[in-house]
Amino acid sequence: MNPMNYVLLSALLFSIGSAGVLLRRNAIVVFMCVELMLNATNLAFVTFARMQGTLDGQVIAFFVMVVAAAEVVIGLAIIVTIFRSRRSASVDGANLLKY
Amino acid sequence: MAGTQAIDYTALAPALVVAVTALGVLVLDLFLPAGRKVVAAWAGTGGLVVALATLLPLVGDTRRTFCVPATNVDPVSCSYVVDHLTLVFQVLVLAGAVVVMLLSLDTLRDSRIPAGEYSFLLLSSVAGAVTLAASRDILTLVVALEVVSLPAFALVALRRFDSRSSEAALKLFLVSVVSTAVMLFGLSLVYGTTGAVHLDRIASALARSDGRLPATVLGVTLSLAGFGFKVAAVPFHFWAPDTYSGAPVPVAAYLSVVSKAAGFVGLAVLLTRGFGPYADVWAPAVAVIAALTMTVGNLAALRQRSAVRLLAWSSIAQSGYMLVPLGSAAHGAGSVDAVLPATVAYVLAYAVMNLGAFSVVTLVGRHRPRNAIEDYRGLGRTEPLTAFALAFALACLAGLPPGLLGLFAKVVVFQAPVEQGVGWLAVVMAVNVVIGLYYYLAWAAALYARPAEGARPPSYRISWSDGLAIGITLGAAVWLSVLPRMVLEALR
Repeated sequence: MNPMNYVLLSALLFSIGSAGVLLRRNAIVVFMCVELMLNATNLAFVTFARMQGTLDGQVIAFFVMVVAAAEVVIGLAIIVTIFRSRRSASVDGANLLKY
Repeated sequence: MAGTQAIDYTALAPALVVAVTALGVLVLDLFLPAGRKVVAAWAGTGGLVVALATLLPLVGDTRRTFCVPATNVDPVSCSYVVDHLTLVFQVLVLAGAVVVMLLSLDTLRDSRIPAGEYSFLLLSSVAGAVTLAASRDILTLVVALEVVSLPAFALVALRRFDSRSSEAALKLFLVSVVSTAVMLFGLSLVYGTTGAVHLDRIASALARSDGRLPATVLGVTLSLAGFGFKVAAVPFHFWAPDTYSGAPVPVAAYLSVVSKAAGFVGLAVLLTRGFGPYADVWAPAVAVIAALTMTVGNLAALRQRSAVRLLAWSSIAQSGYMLVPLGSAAHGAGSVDAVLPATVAYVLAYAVMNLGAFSVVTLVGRHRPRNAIEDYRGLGRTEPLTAFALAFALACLAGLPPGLLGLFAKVVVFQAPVEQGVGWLAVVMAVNVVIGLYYYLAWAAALYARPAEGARPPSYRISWSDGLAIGITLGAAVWLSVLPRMVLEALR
Protein backbone atom coordinates (compact mmCIF):
# COMPACT_ATOMS: atom_id res chain seq x y z
CA MET A 1 0.00 0.00 0.00
CA ASN A 2 1.23 3.47 -0.83
CA PRO A 3 2.73 4.96 2.37
CA MET A 4 1.49 8.40 1.28
CA ASN A 5 -1.98 7.33 2.48
CA TYR A 6 -0.65 7.10 6.02
CA VAL A 7 0.72 10.63 5.77
CA LEU A 8 -2.71 11.83 4.66
CA LEU A 9 -4.34 9.90 7.53
CA SER A 10 -1.96 11.52 9.99
CA ALA A 11 -2.73 14.98 8.57
CA LEU A 12 -6.45 14.22 8.94
CA LEU A 13 -6.03 13.07 12.56
CA PHE A 14 -3.96 16.16 13.30
CA SER A 15 -6.66 18.43 11.85
CA ILE A 16 -9.40 16.69 13.87
CA GLY A 17 -7.29 17.12 16.99
CA SER A 18 -6.63 20.81 16.38
CA ALA A 19 -10.31 21.45 15.59
CA GLY A 20 -11.18 19.79 18.89
CA VAL A 21 -8.69 21.95 20.79
CA LEU A 22 -10.23 25.08 19.33
CA LEU A 23 -13.89 24.10 19.70
CA ARG A 24 -14.29 22.04 22.87
CA ARG A 25 -14.70 23.71 26.28
CA ASN A 26 -13.97 20.87 28.71
CA ALA A 27 -10.31 20.84 29.75
CA ILE A 28 -10.13 17.04 29.71
CA VAL A 29 -11.58 16.84 26.18
CA VAL A 30 -9.18 19.57 25.02
CA PHE A 31 -6.40 17.51 26.50
CA MET A 32 -7.60 14.35 24.70
CA CYS A 33 -7.55 16.28 21.43
CA VAL A 34 -3.92 17.28 22.11
CA GLU A 35 -3.12 13.60 22.58
CA LEU A 36 -4.75 12.93 19.21
CA MET A 37 -2.48 15.56 17.65
CA LEU A 38 0.58 13.94 19.23
CA ASN A 39 -0.45 10.50 17.98
CA ALA A 40 -0.95 11.90 14.49
CA THR A 41 2.62 13.16 14.75
CA ASN A 42 3.79 9.68 15.75
CA LEU A 43 2.07 8.15 12.74
CA ALA A 44 3.73 10.71 10.50
CA PHE A 45 7.17 10.02 11.99
CA VAL A 46 6.82 6.23 11.61
CA THR A 47 5.54 6.57 8.04
CA PHE A 48 8.36 8.89 7.07
CA ALA A 49 10.87 6.50 8.70
CA ARG A 50 9.49 3.74 6.44
CA MET A 51 9.65 5.99 3.37
CA GLN A 52 13.19 7.16 4.15
CA GLY A 53 14.40 3.70 5.11
CA THR A 54 15.95 4.98 8.38
CA LEU A 55 15.08 4.16 11.99
CA ASP A 56 15.31 7.71 13.34
CA GLY A 57 11.60 8.41 12.90
CA GLN A 58 10.60 5.33 14.87
CA VAL A 59 12.94 6.28 17.72
CA ILE A 60 11.42 9.77 17.76
CA ALA A 61 7.93 8.24 17.98
CA PHE A 62 8.98 6.38 21.15
CA PHE A 63 10.30 9.56 22.71
CA VAL A 64 7.12 11.43 21.80
CA MET A 65 5.13 8.73 23.62
CA VAL A 66 7.27 9.21 26.72
CA VAL A 67 6.84 12.98 26.54
CA ALA A 68 3.08 12.56 26.09
CA ALA A 69 2.91 10.27 29.12
CA ALA A 70 4.75 12.85 31.23
CA GLU A 71 2.36 15.53 29.98
CA VAL A 72 -0.62 13.38 31.01
CA VAL A 73 0.73 13.04 34.54
CA ILE A 74 1.12 16.77 35.08
CA GLY A 75 -1.90 17.81 33.02
CA LEU A 76 -4.38 15.56 34.82
CA ALA A 77 -2.96 16.66 38.17
CA ILE A 78 -3.59 20.31 37.26
CA ILE A 79 -7.09 19.57 35.94
CA VAL A 80 -7.95 17.64 39.13
CA THR A 81 -6.74 20.57 41.26
CA ILE A 82 -8.94 22.94 39.24
CA PHE A 83 -11.89 20.57 39.54
CA ARG A 84 -11.48 20.31 43.31
CA SER A 85 -11.69 24.05 43.83
CA ARG A 86 -14.25 24.78 41.12
CA ARG A 87 -16.38 21.61 40.72
CA SER A 88 -16.03 22.01 36.94
CA ALA A 89 -13.36 21.30 34.36
CA SER A 90 -14.64 23.86 31.85
CA VAL A 91 -11.99 26.18 30.46
CA ASP A 92 -14.62 28.96 30.37
CA GLY A 93 -14.81 28.81 34.14
CA ALA A 94 -11.10 29.62 34.46
CA ASN A 95 -11.62 33.38 34.61
CA LEU A 96 -10.06 34.61 37.86
CA LEU A 97 -7.06 36.07 36.06
CA LYS A 98 -7.91 38.71 33.49
CA TYR A 99 -6.61 41.91 32.00
CA MET B 1 35.52 2.25 19.01
CA ALA B 2 33.60 -0.66 17.49
CA GLY B 3 30.16 -0.96 19.06
CA THR B 4 30.68 1.43 21.94
CA GLN B 5 30.72 5.18 21.78
CA ALA B 6 33.00 7.43 23.77
CA ILE B 7 30.99 9.95 25.77
CA ASP B 8 32.56 13.27 26.69
CA TYR B 9 31.46 13.62 30.31
CA THR B 10 33.25 16.95 30.71
CA ALA B 11 30.95 18.45 28.09
CA LEU B 12 27.89 16.91 29.76
CA ALA B 13 28.96 17.88 33.30
CA PRO B 14 26.88 21.08 33.71
CA ALA B 15 23.61 19.34 32.78
CA LEU B 16 24.50 16.23 34.80
CA VAL B 17 25.43 18.22 37.92
CA VAL B 18 22.11 20.09 37.84
CA ALA B 19 20.08 16.92 37.24
CA VAL B 20 21.85 14.96 39.98
CA THR B 21 21.45 17.88 42.40
CA ALA B 22 17.74 17.96 41.61
CA LEU B 23 17.36 14.31 42.63
CA GLY B 24 19.64 14.79 45.63
CA VAL B 25 17.57 17.73 46.85
CA LEU B 26 14.37 15.68 46.61
CA VAL B 27 15.90 12.89 48.71
CA LEU B 28 17.48 15.34 51.15
CA ASP B 29 14.05 16.90 51.71
CA LEU B 30 12.81 13.59 53.17
CA PHE B 31 15.36 13.70 55.97
CA LEU B 32 14.93 17.36 56.94
CA PRO B 33 12.80 18.26 59.96
CA ALA B 34 9.65 20.26 59.18
CA GLY B 35 11.08 23.62 60.27
CA ARG B 36 14.29 23.36 58.27
CA LYS B 37 13.06 22.53 54.76
CA VAL B 38 14.73 25.67 53.38
CA VAL B 39 18.07 23.82 53.66
CA ALA B 40 16.96 21.87 50.55
CA ALA B 41 16.73 25.14 48.63
CA TRP B 42 20.20 26.10 49.84
CA ALA B 43 21.56 22.77 48.60
CA GLY B 44 19.92 23.43 45.24
CA THR B 45 21.54 26.85 44.98
CA GLY B 46 24.88 25.25 45.81
CA GLY B 47 24.41 22.71 43.02
CA LEU B 48 23.77 25.51 40.51
CA VAL B 49 26.97 27.27 41.57
CA VAL B 50 28.92 24.00 41.16
CA ALA B 51 27.39 23.59 37.70
CA LEU B 52 28.59 27.11 36.83
CA ALA B 53 32.10 26.07 37.90
CA THR B 54 31.98 22.99 35.65
CA LEU B 55 31.57 25.33 32.66
CA LEU B 56 35.13 26.65 33.15
CA PRO B 57 37.00 23.68 31.55
CA LEU B 58 34.73 23.98 28.50
CA VAL B 59 35.81 27.53 27.58
CA GLY B 60 37.84 27.83 24.40
CA ASP B 61 37.31 24.77 22.25
CA THR B 62 34.22 23.19 20.71
CA ARG B 63 33.34 19.81 22.19
CA ARG B 64 31.04 17.28 20.54
CA THR B 65 29.54 14.08 21.83
CA PHE B 66 26.82 11.56 20.85
CA CYS B 67 27.97 11.53 17.22
CA VAL B 68 26.91 9.43 14.25
CA PRO B 69 29.50 8.37 11.66
CA ALA B 70 29.92 10.15 8.33
CA THR B 71 27.89 9.05 5.31
CA ASN B 72 28.84 9.45 1.68
CA VAL B 73 27.23 12.92 1.57
CA ASP B 74 27.50 14.18 5.15
CA PRO B 75 30.40 14.47 7.63
CA VAL B 76 30.16 13.28 11.24
CA SER B 77 27.14 14.84 12.98
CA CYS B 78 26.73 15.22 16.72
CA SER B 79 23.66 15.58 18.92
CA TYR B 80 25.33 17.43 21.78
CA VAL B 81 27.71 20.26 20.87
CA VAL B 82 29.23 22.70 23.36
CA ASP B 83 30.38 25.70 21.33
CA HIS B 84 30.57 29.39 22.09
CA LEU B 85 26.82 29.99 21.63
CA THR B 86 26.04 27.07 23.95
CA LEU B 87 28.39 28.33 26.66
CA VAL B 88 27.00 31.87 26.59
CA PHE B 89 23.48 30.56 27.13
CA GLN B 90 24.49 27.99 29.74
CA VAL B 91 26.14 30.74 31.79
CA LEU B 92 23.02 32.89 31.40
CA VAL B 93 20.63 30.09 32.36
CA LEU B 94 22.64 28.92 35.39
CA ALA B 95 23.39 32.43 36.70
CA GLY B 96 19.74 33.42 36.21
CA ALA B 97 18.63 30.31 38.07
CA VAL B 98 20.96 31.16 40.99
CA VAL B 99 19.31 34.60 41.30
CA VAL B 100 15.84 33.04 41.12
CA MET B 101 16.78 30.56 43.86
CA LEU B 102 18.07 33.39 46.06
CA LEU B 103 14.78 35.25 45.55
CA SER B 104 12.82 32.09 46.36
CA LEU B 105 14.42 31.46 49.76
CA ASP B 106 12.29 33.97 51.69
CA THR B 107 9.19 33.19 49.64
CA LEU B 108 9.57 29.52 50.58
CA ARG B 109 9.97 30.36 54.26
CA ASP B 110 6.97 32.69 54.37
CA SER B 111 4.48 30.75 52.27
CA ARG B 112 3.14 27.21 52.31
CA ILE B 113 5.09 26.10 49.23
CA PRO B 114 6.99 22.85 49.90
CA ALA B 115 10.69 23.80 49.63
CA GLY B 116 12.07 20.40 48.59
CA GLU B 117 9.64 19.87 45.73
CA TYR B 118 10.03 23.48 44.63
CA SER B 119 13.83 23.18 44.39
CA PHE B 120 13.57 19.80 42.65
CA LEU B 121 11.20 21.15 40.00
CA LEU B 122 13.20 24.32 39.44
CA LEU B 123 16.47 22.40 39.06
CA SER B 124 14.89 19.84 36.71
CA SER B 125 13.70 22.66 34.50
CA VAL B 126 17.16 24.27 34.58
CA ALA B 127 18.74 20.93 33.60
CA GLY B 128 16.49 20.95 30.53
CA ALA B 129 17.49 24.52 29.69
CA VAL B 130 21.20 23.67 29.97
CA THR B 131 20.71 20.68 27.64
CA LEU B 132 18.62 22.70 25.19
CA ALA B 133 21.50 25.11 24.62
CA ALA B 134 23.74 22.23 23.52
CA SER B 135 21.30 20.07 21.55
CA ARG B 136 21.85 19.88 17.81
CA ASP B 137 19.25 17.37 16.62
CA ILE B 138 15.47 17.72 16.51
CA LEU B 139 14.79 14.92 18.99
CA THR B 140 17.13 16.32 21.65
CA LEU B 141 15.69 19.78 21.05
CA VAL B 142 12.11 18.60 21.58
CA VAL B 143 12.87 16.49 24.63
CA ALA B 144 14.98 19.26 26.22
CA LEU B 145 12.23 21.81 25.52
CA GLU B 146 9.72 19.55 27.26
CA VAL B 147 12.09 19.06 30.20
CA VAL B 148 12.12 22.86 30.56
CA SER B 149 8.32 23.14 30.32
CA LEU B 150 6.90 20.21 32.28
CA PRO B 151 8.40 21.08 35.70
CA ALA B 152 7.39 24.71 35.08
CA PHE B 153 3.69 23.72 34.99
CA ALA B 154 4.06 22.08 38.38
CA LEU B 155 6.03 25.06 39.75
CA VAL B 156 3.19 27.40 38.82
CA ALA B 157 0.58 25.05 40.31
CA LEU B 158 2.52 24.42 43.51
CA ARG B 159 0.33 26.73 45.62
CA ARG B 160 -2.46 24.14 45.63
CA PHE B 161 -4.57 26.09 48.12
CA ASP B 162 -4.78 29.09 45.76
CA SER B 163 -7.19 28.56 42.88
CA ARG B 164 -5.57 31.39 40.91
CA SER B 165 -2.38 29.35 40.91
CA SER B 166 -3.98 26.25 39.36
CA GLU B 167 -5.79 28.40 36.82
CA ALA B 168 -2.46 29.97 35.83
CA ALA B 169 -0.98 26.49 35.49
CA LEU B 170 -3.89 25.26 33.35
CA LYS B 171 -3.47 28.14 30.90
CA LEU B 172 0.29 27.61 30.68
CA PHE B 173 -0.18 23.87 30.27
CA LEU B 174 -2.80 23.94 27.50
CA VAL B 175 -0.96 26.52 25.38
CA SER B 176 2.29 24.64 25.87
CA VAL B 177 1.08 21.16 24.90
CA VAL B 178 -0.80 22.46 21.85
CA SER B 179 2.24 24.36 20.59
CA THR B 180 4.47 21.33 21.22
CA ALA B 181 2.13 19.15 19.17
CA VAL B 182 2.12 21.68 16.32
CA MET B 183 5.91 21.93 16.42
CA LEU B 184 6.30 18.13 16.39
CA PHE B 185 4.05 17.86 13.36
CA GLY B 186 6.15 20.49 11.60
CA LEU B 187 9.35 18.66 12.52
CA SER B 188 7.90 15.37 11.23
CA LEU B 189 7.32 17.03 7.84
CA VAL B 190 10.89 18.35 7.83
CA TYR B 191 12.16 14.87 8.72
CA GLY B 192 9.99 13.35 6.00
CA THR B 193 11.33 15.61 3.27
CA THR B 194 14.99 15.70 4.34
CA GLY B 195 15.40 12.27 5.96
CA ALA B 196 17.71 13.79 8.58
CA VAL B 197 17.38 14.48 12.31
CA HIS B 198 20.67 16.29 12.94
CA LEU B 199 20.40 20.01 12.32
CA ASP B 200 23.55 20.25 10.20
CA ARG B 201 22.31 17.39 7.99
CA ILE B 202 18.88 19.01 7.68
CA ALA B 203 20.66 22.21 6.60
CA SER B 204 22.75 20.43 3.96
CA ALA B 205 19.71 18.50 2.68
CA LEU B 206 17.71 21.74 2.43
CA ALA B 207 20.62 23.42 0.64
CA ARG B 208 20.89 20.52 -1.83
CA SER B 209 17.20 20.53 -2.77
CA ASP B 210 16.37 23.00 -5.49
CA GLY B 211 13.09 24.85 -5.34
CA ARG B 212 10.84 25.07 -2.30
CA LEU B 213 8.81 21.96 -1.46
CA PRO B 214 5.42 23.01 -0.01
CA ALA B 215 5.63 20.26 2.63
CA THR B 216 9.02 21.54 3.82
CA VAL B 217 7.80 25.13 3.88
CA LEU B 218 4.82 24.06 5.99
CA GLY B 219 7.08 22.01 8.26
CA VAL B 220 9.52 24.88 8.82
CA THR B 221 6.69 27.29 9.59
CA LEU B 222 4.90 24.96 12.02
CA SER B 223 8.19 24.24 13.80
CA LEU B 224 8.31 27.89 14.87
CA ALA B 225 5.19 27.36 16.99
CA GLY B 226 6.79 25.48 19.87
CA PHE B 227 9.45 28.08 20.43
CA GLY B 228 7.00 30.90 19.73
CA PHE B 229 5.13 29.70 22.81
CA LYS B 230 8.26 29.45 24.92
CA VAL B 231 9.33 33.04 24.17
CA ALA B 232 5.70 34.29 24.48
CA ALA B 233 5.52 35.64 20.94
CA VAL B 234 2.17 36.72 19.51
CA PRO B 235 -0.09 34.71 18.86
CA PHE B 236 1.18 32.36 21.60
CA HIS B 237 1.45 35.06 24.26
CA PHE B 238 -1.92 34.82 26.06
CA TRP B 239 -0.64 32.60 28.81
CA ALA B 240 2.10 34.97 29.94
CA PRO B 241 0.28 37.72 31.90
CA ASP B 242 -2.14 35.32 33.57
CA THR B 243 0.53 32.78 34.41
CA TYR B 244 2.96 35.37 35.75
CA SER B 245 0.35 36.92 38.02
CA GLY B 246 -0.99 33.57 39.26
CA ALA B 247 2.41 32.06 39.98
CA PRO B 248 4.72 32.89 42.91
CA VAL B 249 6.74 35.97 41.84
CA PRO B 250 10.13 34.15 41.72
CA VAL B 251 8.55 31.58 39.39
CA ALA B 252 7.32 34.41 37.18
CA ALA B 253 10.90 35.72 37.14
CA TYR B 254 12.09 32.25 36.16
CA LEU B 255 9.56 31.96 33.33
CA SER B 256 10.30 35.41 31.99
CA VAL B 257 14.09 35.11 32.05
CA VAL B 258 15.53 31.58 32.23
CA SER B 259 12.78 29.74 30.41
CA LYS B 260 12.51 32.50 27.80
CA ALA B 261 16.29 32.44 27.24
CA ALA B 262 16.03 28.68 26.74
CA GLY B 263 13.31 29.25 24.17
CA PHE B 264 15.48 31.78 22.36
CA VAL B 265 18.54 29.55 22.19
CA GLY B 266 16.39 26.71 20.87
CA LEU B 267 14.82 28.99 18.28
CA ALA B 268 18.18 30.45 17.27
CA VAL B 269 19.81 27.01 16.96
CA LEU B 270 16.90 25.57 14.98
CA LEU B 271 16.61 28.52 12.60
CA THR B 272 20.30 29.22 12.01
CA ARG B 273 21.91 25.77 12.24
CA GLY B 274 19.03 23.76 10.80
CA PHE B 275 16.79 25.89 8.63
CA GLY B 276 19.47 28.36 7.47
CA PRO B 277 19.00 27.64 3.74
CA TYR B 278 15.27 28.38 4.11
CA ALA B 279 15.88 31.82 5.62
CA ASP B 280 13.85 33.44 2.84
CA VAL B 281 10.86 31.38 4.05
CA TRP B 282 11.00 31.84 7.80
CA ALA B 283 12.59 35.29 8.11
CA PRO B 284 9.55 37.23 6.78
CA ALA B 285 7.29 35.19 9.08
CA VAL B 286 9.54 35.92 12.07
CA ALA B 287 9.60 39.62 11.08
CA VAL B 288 5.79 39.82 11.13
CA ILE B 289 5.66 37.94 14.45
CA ALA B 290 8.30 40.31 15.89
CA ALA B 291 6.36 43.41 14.80
CA LEU B 292 3.08 42.06 16.20
CA THR B 293 4.71 40.87 19.43
CA MET B 294 6.28 44.19 20.34
CA THR B 295 3.23 46.23 19.34
CA VAL B 296 0.71 44.06 21.21
CA GLY B 297 3.00 43.78 24.24
CA ASN B 298 3.64 47.51 24.48
CA LEU B 299 0.04 48.59 23.90
CA ALA B 300 -1.29 46.18 26.51
CA ALA B 301 1.42 47.18 28.99
CA LEU B 302 0.25 50.81 28.79
CA ARG B 303 -2.93 50.09 30.75
CA GLN B 304 -1.63 47.69 33.41
CA ARG B 305 -2.04 48.56 37.08
CA SER B 306 -0.34 45.52 38.58
CA ALA B 307 3.46 45.37 38.68
CA VAL B 308 3.75 41.71 37.70
CA ARG B 309 1.27 42.02 34.82
CA LEU B 310 3.08 45.10 33.57
CA LEU B 311 6.37 43.19 33.58
CA ALA B 312 4.63 40.29 31.82
CA TRP B 313 3.39 42.46 28.95
CA SER B 314 6.70 44.31 28.83
CA SER B 315 8.55 40.99 28.58
CA ILE B 316 6.30 40.08 25.62
CA ALA B 317 7.29 43.37 23.99
CA GLN B 318 10.96 42.68 24.75
CA SER B 319 10.61 39.27 23.05
CA GLY B 320 9.55 41.17 19.96
CA TYR B 321 12.81 43.17 20.03
CA MET B 322 14.80 39.95 20.39
CA LEU B 323 13.08 38.47 17.33
CA VAL B 324 13.86 41.53 15.16
CA PRO B 325 17.40 40.43 14.11
CA LEU B 326 16.19 36.92 13.23
CA GLY B 327 13.35 38.47 11.26
CA SER B 328 15.76 40.46 9.11
CA ALA B 329 17.89 37.44 8.06
CA ALA B 330 16.31 37.05 4.63
CA HIS B 331 19.28 37.37 2.30
CA GLY B 332 21.18 34.11 2.05
CA ALA B 333 23.01 31.92 4.53
CA GLY B 334 25.70 34.50 5.38
CA SER B 335 23.22 36.99 6.81
CA VAL B 336 21.84 34.37 9.20
CA ASP B 337 25.18 34.27 10.98
CA ALA B 338 25.42 38.06 10.77
CA VAL B 339 22.22 38.69 12.75
CA LEU B 340 22.59 36.00 15.42
CA PRO B 341 25.00 38.02 17.68
CA ALA B 342 22.44 40.85 17.95
CA THR B 343 19.73 38.51 19.25
CA VAL B 344 22.15 36.88 21.69
CA ALA B 345 23.33 40.27 22.97
CA TYR B 346 19.75 41.43 23.56
CA VAL B 347 18.77 38.22 25.36
CA LEU B 348 21.77 38.63 27.70
CA ALA B 349 21.02 42.29 28.41
CA TYR B 350 17.32 41.55 28.89
CA ALA B 351 18.09 38.79 31.40
CA VAL B 352 20.13 41.16 33.57
CA MET B 353 17.67 44.04 33.53
CA ASN B 354 14.49 41.97 33.85
CA LEU B 355 15.87 39.93 36.76
CA GLY B 356 16.81 43.25 38.37
CA ALA B 357 13.22 44.49 38.09
CA PHE B 358 11.77 41.17 39.25
CA SER B 359 14.00 40.95 42.31
CA VAL B 360 12.67 44.26 43.65
CA VAL B 361 9.09 43.34 42.67
CA THR B 362 9.46 40.05 44.60
CA LEU B 363 10.65 41.93 47.65
CA VAL B 364 7.86 44.53 47.56
CA GLY B 365 5.26 41.86 46.74
CA ARG B 366 6.13 40.10 49.98
CA HIS B 367 4.99 43.16 51.94
CA ARG B 368 2.22 44.34 49.60
CA PRO B 369 0.51 41.17 48.31
CA ARG B 370 -1.57 43.16 45.79
CA ASN B 371 1.65 44.42 44.19
CA ALA B 372 0.00 47.28 42.30
CA ILE B 373 2.03 50.08 40.71
CA GLU B 374 0.62 52.59 43.22
CA ASP B 375 2.13 50.55 46.07
CA TYR B 376 5.50 51.69 44.74
CA ARG B 377 4.65 55.39 45.09
CA GLY B 378 7.20 57.06 47.32
CA LEU B 379 9.36 53.96 47.70
CA GLY B 380 12.37 56.19 47.06
CA ARG B 381 11.81 57.87 50.45
CA THR B 382 11.44 54.79 52.61
CA GLU B 383 13.74 52.37 50.77
CA PRO B 384 16.18 54.41 48.65
CA LEU B 385 18.39 51.41 47.79
CA THR B 386 15.78 49.08 46.37
CA ALA B 387 14.00 52.01 44.71
CA PHE B 388 17.27 52.90 42.96
CA ALA B 389 17.76 49.26 41.87
CA LEU B 390 14.26 49.15 40.39
CA ALA B 391 14.56 52.58 38.75
CA PHE B 392 17.87 51.58 37.16
CA ALA B 393 16.41 48.29 35.86
CA LEU B 394 13.42 50.19 34.41
CA ALA B 395 15.71 52.75 32.76
CA CYS B 396 17.63 49.85 31.20
CA LEU B 397 14.43 48.20 29.95
CA ALA B 398 13.31 51.53 28.49
CA GLY B 399 16.75 52.11 26.96
CA LEU B 400 17.34 55.56 28.45
CA PRO B 401 20.49 56.83 30.15
CA PRO B 402 21.66 56.01 32.80
CA GLY B 403 20.50 52.55 31.76
CA LEU B 404 23.06 52.37 28.98
CA LEU B 405 22.94 48.56 28.87
CA GLY B 406 19.42 48.62 27.44
CA LEU B 407 20.28 51.49 25.10
CA PHE B 408 23.31 49.71 23.60
CA ALA B 409 21.40 46.44 23.26
CA LYS B 410 18.56 48.25 21.45
CA VAL B 411 21.01 49.96 19.09
CA VAL B 412 22.62 46.61 18.21
CA VAL B 413 19.21 45.05 17.52
CA PHE B 414 18.16 48.12 15.53
CA GLN B 415 21.22 47.85 13.28
CA ALA B 416 20.22 44.39 12.03
CA PRO B 417 17.08 45.36 10.01
CA VAL B 418 18.78 48.57 8.83
CA GLU B 419 21.84 46.70 7.52
CA GLN B 420 19.78 43.90 5.99
CA GLY B 421 17.41 46.33 4.30
CA VAL B 422 14.19 45.51 6.18
CA GLY B 423 13.31 49.15 6.77
CA TRP B 424 9.70 48.73 7.87
CA LEU B 425 10.74 46.49 10.77
CA ALA B 426 13.21 49.14 11.96
CA VAL B 427 10.44 51.77 11.87
CA VAL B 428 8.01 49.55 13.83
CA MET B 429 10.71 48.91 16.41
CA ALA B 430 11.55 52.61 16.79
CA VAL B 431 7.87 53.48 17.35
CA ASN B 432 7.59 50.70 19.91
CA VAL B 433 10.65 51.82 21.86
CA VAL B 434 8.97 55.23 22.22
CA ILE B 435 5.70 53.67 23.43
CA GLY B 436 7.72 51.61 25.91
CA LEU B 437 9.32 54.73 27.37
CA TYR B 438 5.96 55.87 28.72
CA TYR B 439 5.09 53.02 31.03
CA TYR B 440 8.63 52.32 32.22
CA LEU B 441 9.23 55.98 33.04
CA ALA B 442 5.81 56.45 34.64
CA TRP B 443 6.64 53.61 37.02
CA ALA B 444 10.16 54.92 37.69
CA ALA B 445 8.76 58.41 38.35
CA ALA B 446 6.20 57.00 40.79
CA LEU B 447 9.08 55.60 42.86
CA TYR B 448 10.28 59.13 43.59
CA ALA B 449 6.89 60.86 43.72
CA ARG B 450 5.29 62.16 46.92
CA PRO B 451 3.31 59.31 48.56
CA ALA B 452 -0.48 59.62 48.29
CA GLU B 453 -2.39 61.23 51.20
CA GLY B 454 -2.55 58.80 54.12
CA ALA B 455 -0.74 56.00 52.25
CA ARG B 456 2.49 54.64 53.69
CA PRO B 457 5.06 53.35 51.18
CA PRO B 458 6.36 49.88 52.05
CA SER B 459 9.29 49.78 54.42
CA TYR B 460 11.13 46.59 55.31
CA ARG B 461 14.32 44.92 56.38
CA ILE B 462 16.07 43.36 53.41
CA SER B 463 17.12 39.80 54.14
CA TRP B 464 20.60 38.99 52.94
CA SER B 465 19.47 36.51 50.29
CA ASP B 466 17.21 39.16 48.72
CA GLY B 467 19.97 41.73 49.15
CA LEU B 468 22.41 39.41 47.38
CA ALA B 469 19.99 38.88 44.48
CA ILE B 470 19.35 42.61 44.09
CA GLY B 471 23.05 43.33 44.47
CA ILE B 472 24.06 40.79 41.80
CA THR B 473 21.55 42.07 39.25
CA LEU B 474 22.16 45.77 39.97
CA GLY B 475 25.92 45.23 39.95
CA ALA B 476 25.74 43.36 36.65
CA ALA B 477 23.50 46.04 35.11
CA VAL B 478 25.77 48.90 36.20
CA TRP B 479 28.93 47.04 35.21
CA LEU B 480 27.56 46.13 31.78
CA SER B 481 26.34 49.69 31.28
CA VAL B 482 29.93 50.85 31.72
CA LEU B 483 31.51 47.98 29.78
CA PRO B 484 28.81 46.84 27.32
CA ARG B 485 31.33 45.03 25.10
CA MET B 486 31.03 41.96 27.35
CA VAL B 487 27.46 41.52 26.20
CA LEU B 488 27.50 43.06 22.75
CA GLU B 489 30.44 40.99 21.59
CA ALA B 490 29.55 37.84 23.48
CA LEU B 491 29.51 35.86 20.24
CA ARG B 492 32.47 37.42 18.48
